[in-house]
Amino acid sequence: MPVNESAAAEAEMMTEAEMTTDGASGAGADAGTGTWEPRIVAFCCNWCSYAGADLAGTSRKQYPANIRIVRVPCSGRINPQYILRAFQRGADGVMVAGCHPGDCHYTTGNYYTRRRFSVVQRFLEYVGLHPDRFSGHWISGSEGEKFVQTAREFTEKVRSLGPNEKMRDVL
Amino acid sequence: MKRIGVFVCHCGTNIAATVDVEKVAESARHLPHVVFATTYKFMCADPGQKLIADAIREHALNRVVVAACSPHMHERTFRKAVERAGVNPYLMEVANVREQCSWVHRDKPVGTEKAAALVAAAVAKVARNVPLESGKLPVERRALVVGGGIAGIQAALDIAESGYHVTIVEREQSVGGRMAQLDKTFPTLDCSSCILTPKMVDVGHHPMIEICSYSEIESVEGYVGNFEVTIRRKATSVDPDVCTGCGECWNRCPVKKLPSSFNMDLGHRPAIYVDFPQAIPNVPVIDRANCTYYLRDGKCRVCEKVCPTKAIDFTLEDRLVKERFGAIVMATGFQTASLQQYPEWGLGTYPDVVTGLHFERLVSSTGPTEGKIKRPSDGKEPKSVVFVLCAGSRDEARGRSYCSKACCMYSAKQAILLREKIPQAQAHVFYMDIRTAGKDYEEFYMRAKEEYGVNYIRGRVAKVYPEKDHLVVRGEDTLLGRPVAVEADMVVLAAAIEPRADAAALAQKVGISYNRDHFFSEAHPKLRPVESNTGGVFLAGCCQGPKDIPETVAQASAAAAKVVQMFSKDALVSEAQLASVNEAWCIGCFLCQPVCPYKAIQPKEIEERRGRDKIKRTVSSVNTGLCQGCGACAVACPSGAMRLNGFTDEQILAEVDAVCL
Amino acid sequence: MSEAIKTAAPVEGEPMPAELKTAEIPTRRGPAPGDPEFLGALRDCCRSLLAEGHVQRIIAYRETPDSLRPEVAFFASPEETGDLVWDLFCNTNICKYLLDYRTFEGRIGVVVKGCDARGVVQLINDMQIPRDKVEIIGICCPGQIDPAKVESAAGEAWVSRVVAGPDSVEIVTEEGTEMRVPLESVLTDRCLSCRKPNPPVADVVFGEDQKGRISDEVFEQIAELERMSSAERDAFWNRHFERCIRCFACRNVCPACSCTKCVFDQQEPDWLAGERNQANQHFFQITRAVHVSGRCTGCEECDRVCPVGIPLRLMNKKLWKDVKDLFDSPLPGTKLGVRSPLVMWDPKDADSFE
Repeated sequence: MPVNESAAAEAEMMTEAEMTTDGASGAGADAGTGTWEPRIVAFCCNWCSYAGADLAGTSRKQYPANIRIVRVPCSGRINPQYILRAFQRGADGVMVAGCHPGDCHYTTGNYYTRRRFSVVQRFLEYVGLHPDRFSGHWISGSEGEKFVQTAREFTEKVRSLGPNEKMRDVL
Repeated sequence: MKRIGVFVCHCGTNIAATVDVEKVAESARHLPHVVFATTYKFMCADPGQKLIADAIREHALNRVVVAACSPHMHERTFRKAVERAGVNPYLMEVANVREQCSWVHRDKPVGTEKAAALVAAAVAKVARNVPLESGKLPVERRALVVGGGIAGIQAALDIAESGYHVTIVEREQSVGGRMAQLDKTFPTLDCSSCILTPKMVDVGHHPMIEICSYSEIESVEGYVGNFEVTIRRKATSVDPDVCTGCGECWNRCPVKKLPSSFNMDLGHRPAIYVDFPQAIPNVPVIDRANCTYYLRDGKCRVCEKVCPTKAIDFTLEDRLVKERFGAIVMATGFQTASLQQYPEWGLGTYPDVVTGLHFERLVSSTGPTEGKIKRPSDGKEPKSVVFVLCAGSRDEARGRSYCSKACCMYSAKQAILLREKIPQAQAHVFYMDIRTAGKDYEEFYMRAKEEYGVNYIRGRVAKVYPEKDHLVVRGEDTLLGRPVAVEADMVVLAAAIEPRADAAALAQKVGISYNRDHFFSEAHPKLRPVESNTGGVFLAGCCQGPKDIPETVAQASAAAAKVVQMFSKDALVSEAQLASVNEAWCIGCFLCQPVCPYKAIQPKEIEERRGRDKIKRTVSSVNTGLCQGCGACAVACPSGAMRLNGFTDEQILAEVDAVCL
Repeated sequence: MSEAIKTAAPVEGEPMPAELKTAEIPTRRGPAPGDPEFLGALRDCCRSLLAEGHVQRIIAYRETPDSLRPEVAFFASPEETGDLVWDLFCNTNICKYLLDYRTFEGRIGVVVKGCDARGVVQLINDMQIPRDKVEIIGICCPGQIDPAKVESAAGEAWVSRVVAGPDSVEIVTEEGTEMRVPLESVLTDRCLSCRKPNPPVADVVFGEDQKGRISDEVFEQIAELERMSSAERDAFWNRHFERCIRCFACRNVCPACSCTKCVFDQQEPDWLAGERNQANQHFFQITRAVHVSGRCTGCEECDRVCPVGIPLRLMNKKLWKDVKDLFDSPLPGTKLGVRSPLVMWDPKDADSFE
């Protein structure tokens, strides 16, 4: 996606092309248009990343609708099995986001997230998941812009990979 | 039977402009368990809340989804709304279709479709919600204040004046702390003892305050409202109930030349001593490590012989006292850095290089020189004194990046005191920056420069070395861009303010966190600056970060207000969305225990029926007074025996399934 | 205690002082497997432990009609120890049987190889059994023989018995023919790359410390997989996971899997559906491996028991390699009192998040 770097311009002055990509449906193979859209699940901690996503909204910043957020109290609450489940049920990409290390609302929760997912991320790649389908981010409550950029970049990466078949339930 | 109602908010046009709310409601009607769905202009307004309540009654709803703004905005509002209509507040979920949908996606069909998916996720989740109750925790209306300096004294007085019992635990013989060691205070130059001692007397006499001096915290168990604290009351060898503080003993004690820590080792004290003449409590203690009786098998006994009330009891031993408290105020203060990493300044090598606290004792009328400034090496009156600011502070390379905050001002004060007491003496101050943020502070600094002729040199001190009978301070004047060498009879280092050496160990006992410099961490740097991240533990004074006296007193009063606020309630309400253990599944591996930031997980023995036998086994249990609901334990638990209510695996999986559809 | 056991301290015959039970360095050593006195000494040791009441049960091995496959046996009295056996066919990791004794009131002796002993220590570290409840009878293991490899070496003939020497084994068939093959050719795969054949914690040890074999084969295979493209790795694991019949043998033998209610057995939440498709296979395989990561002792018992030959060790060892590289922690089961590195943290931890 051609990401408009100019912060001033991006809120209101989106190009036609962006409107179509940003505004595209988030619902897999869309029967109406026939275009495929990636499904992305983002697990966000309540205090930082979810608040960062809220701030993106309050600032009216646009990002692709493919991302659906599941709110958890802390990134430390994100069980790696949730990631597997999302891929199983048809997610094409999964994002995990929490407070920056050192800023955890619960003091240390994201330190476990960091350990756990540095192992799990490597392992998912090892069993054959494309590395671009899973990503982790530290996004604070004041980083609405970072949330938007992350959402855009991740969606584009996943879009370029096409539908995920690894671990996916055959319906 | 689950009967879910879905309420889609227009939020004026905030949602309705880019999300077809009617369509969202219509799609919700086809979701499992949904028996009612509607839209309204402003769901959060009174009529909107009434609409929800009416629908709950009319359609016998027992679960509710509100599709509106972020739960950070109105989750609480809608929880209360459903509760008023007789539905457990935790059987309500918010679908965030404004901040995370209508405001970020301009294309209406796309926004509508995503909003419908978010509603479906909330419906799937709420179908698996269970009613939760907030627990009620009783409060022990007694406060513990750790540290008897000005922070502890102020906090104790404020709490006690509100009618609650306070215990002050003080490590030294007397309360008073650092402020008692100071001579005068900036920017008013009033005498530190003169303003402190009345407060000490108040604390000493207050019917609601108990002072445990010469005591330390041994252990802390329990949780907010219900702490059980073990206090080590060190053996004083003096019966406080009998002693009148007449002073016969300490005046007659033959061991006289022990270094007085109150005087920063610049003066002496006997083996039986009070910290300073105005000590509260005015009951001496025997320093057993240096008392002849203990060193030479019961010899001496002079104090015992001269005591008119027979208060000396050599057989006393340390006592461990267990007490219950509802709240704890940490006010453990600071020490000044030893500056061992700075051998070039010669602290500890040259006797005439001292820290600011030493200087306070040398200038104080109750100090070892009775207020006559004499340099430690030969007792000569100094004719030139160099003050070095940022001594150990603001030096990332040697481990301390922070500003000690009070030094600029107290060094200006000390320079003024020097010039007042020895008008012909010169005062030089080496500084990096002068920071005078505070009421009347800048004016005070300007007085030091203009009225008292203190010479400020901007630059770091590279070296201090002796020459003949004085010291030479070498540094660079960065304003003039050239090296300078100043002859000095004394050098006063404004040594960095750091937490007490055992601050981290104490924090671990109490269960609060601390930063890399070992200052105790506040729960939120802006909005909760006097609370620790552990419920019921509050922070006051320099243990939380460097500060001056007015700031310390303000924080102490704030901490006291927090304590009083807690005590004014009948019972504390605990969070409802906390962890709990499925005991049947728990195998007691305790992988959950180390990940809990609040030490809320403890072993518990349960009895279980196995066939015909009854067996005992150990499982995890969650202390709801300590748990804050982060859920780290639930992920550490391999079997899922540990669950986080409100965010259970079932609920999250249902959401994941729904958003993926 | 048995004559054959050279006791350093305490003096022979004296009851063992309590502190020894928790000591990591064993003070008593017996003869090594291969020594003619070995089996007698091991039996004596077990017999006297039972007779003197130090233990109430011993978990070890017993002869069966198939000399290549001794069975796990539970000895409750000194008289029963006559057919206790330990040879190079004691492949089964018996540590997991300790869990059957969670509520048993007495002490239990276990006869363990290096890999089994790590399992015992892991169970202790996972608080599934207290250290003082277990008498660890350790054997410095010269390596175990894979009966299947022996049988394929014998070709069509039925194997009647195998006599193991230090470097080679003699295979005797039913017809009485004898053949000699190198020991390495019949050792199990896991033994060929075993680096830790000695019990890290034990109360009694038989044999002197073995050097172990420093084959990097497993890690080379892992590196090879890491070099592949995503699609190739995907194909590799799909091919293996496809065969999984979800018998759960891997889980059941695993010393790091001690849950009584495993996530795979739960209906609510419905983590794993029954249908055998790649999605479910992946969920099962990945979750199992991730659950034991940081606690997997590398015994490779799961790999050995997998009836369809899924190379489970390539998953477990990959996870272990990463955990070790990232967090620098000891191999699980080699030290008492060590918890999983995944329930700990360090502010300086590596960060894969952006």
